[in-house]
Amino acid sequence: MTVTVERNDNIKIIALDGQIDVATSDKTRDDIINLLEKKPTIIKMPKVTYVSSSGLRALLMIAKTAKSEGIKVTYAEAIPEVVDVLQMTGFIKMLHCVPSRPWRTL
Amino acid sequence: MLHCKEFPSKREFLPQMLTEITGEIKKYFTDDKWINRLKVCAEEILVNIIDYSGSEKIFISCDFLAKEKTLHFEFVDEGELYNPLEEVPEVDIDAEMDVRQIGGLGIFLYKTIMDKLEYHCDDGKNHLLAYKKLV
Repeated sequence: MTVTVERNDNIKIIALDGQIDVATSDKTRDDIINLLEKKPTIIKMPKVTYVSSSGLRALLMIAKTAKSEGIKVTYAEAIPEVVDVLQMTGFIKMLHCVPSRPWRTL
Repeated sequence: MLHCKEFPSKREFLPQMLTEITGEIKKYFTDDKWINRLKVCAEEILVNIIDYSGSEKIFISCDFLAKEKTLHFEFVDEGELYNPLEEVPEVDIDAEMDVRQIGGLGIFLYKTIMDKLEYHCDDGKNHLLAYKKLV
């Protein structure tokens, strides 16, 4: 899993590439939490090919940490297989998830 | 068909186990959504065995029950006897983020995705069986 900051001005865009599974979820979570600043943050997921339950837990911990610090985090552009798991577990409603590119309007 | 293939019960062998299982799944399922769902289930079951059973080995079988058009997995370990299907924690998928619990997601996923799950212990080994009818 690679975590890359693609943009960092009035908003921050973090792009993920790889799988968020039991082997990568802790580091992915820590890497993203360390990148959070007090600005809207979009986590781009079109290159995330797989999310297991440990990956879901990482996404939840990131969102909880961000919320506690007053940071709005949006998960964007997940592929259908990942959206499916997010839907099944209610994460799609609980987290702020969007299919398109919301930063274009910010 | 994967018949009672043995793997060391260690996280570093998980990718190898999942590759074998996913290969079997792809023989019968073509929809990426279902391939992904079944892989998620297999990972959950295997991680629980690796992390909590204390077993040194995992034995994995996978076959297709033609009459029932059902894919059948069996996971066997030699660890502490434990039925993961008992005492399943409640997962409220409509809960708000602030009250959402971290735990219980794995078993919730595989109980939701699989059509049938069975557990028995035999010769001091845990046997977890999972069934998914073709969709």
